[in-house]
Amino acid sequence: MLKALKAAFPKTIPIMTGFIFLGTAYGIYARSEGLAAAEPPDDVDSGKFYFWVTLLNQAYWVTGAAIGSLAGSFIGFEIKGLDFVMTALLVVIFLDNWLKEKNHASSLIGIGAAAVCLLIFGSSSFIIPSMAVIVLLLTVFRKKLEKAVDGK
Amino acid sequence: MTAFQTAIIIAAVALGTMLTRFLPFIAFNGKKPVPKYVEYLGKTLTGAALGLLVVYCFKSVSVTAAPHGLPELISTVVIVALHLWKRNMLLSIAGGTVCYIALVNFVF
Repeated sequence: MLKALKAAFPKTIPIMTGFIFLGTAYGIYARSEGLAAAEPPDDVDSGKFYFWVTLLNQAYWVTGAAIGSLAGSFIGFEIKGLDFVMTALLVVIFLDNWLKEKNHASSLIGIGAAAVCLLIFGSSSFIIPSMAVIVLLLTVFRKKLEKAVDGK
Repeated sequence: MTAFQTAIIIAAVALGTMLTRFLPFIAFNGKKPVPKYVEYLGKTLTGAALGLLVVYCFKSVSVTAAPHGLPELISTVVIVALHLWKRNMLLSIAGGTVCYIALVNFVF
């Protein structure tokens, strides 16, 4: 039991770091303005309301991941190229965000930093350097970007 | 990978995501204002993180070896075109994926 946990944990480290990075960004985003579409009724505490919104969203995510993983182990055949659905999803989300944002600097930093790090560090170890470079660039150019994002 | 290992991986991922989702609620509980720097990251990190993920999806594409990333390029153009045209997420994703499956199985 413990041996299996020890064997499994190192394999989850890349996913863990990725999720912590994304999750933190998402958490801040949800906290600041992302949940603007969901407004709590007047007689409900907004903190508790957003806590439940996040918890429910989280439950959907966990359920989905579990269903996907279990279903994947039962399907015996492979459709070549089906994994492109992930790429398609992210391209669409990125494009949606691109069309909404007033300034593209941050999106371009993300693409640029990741592309450069991919060339330098290779495909299996560029994620963490990319995240570091992104945060560094966002921090260095904060003054400029803050104005640009607020549209002033 | 045994079913047990799979279960542990799912549990670890769930724990990791939950921890990161709920940490902001504990750290910024509404009593104190959110630090300006964190608020700034909340506004700017979205685009950058999505950019990184898009690059991640294309990380194994080789431009030098045949088919030179052409199926990916064509399918991405299809996705962008579909999305600019109809703005329908499911249509864009399904269209791009079907195009890619067709290209790698029957064309390249």
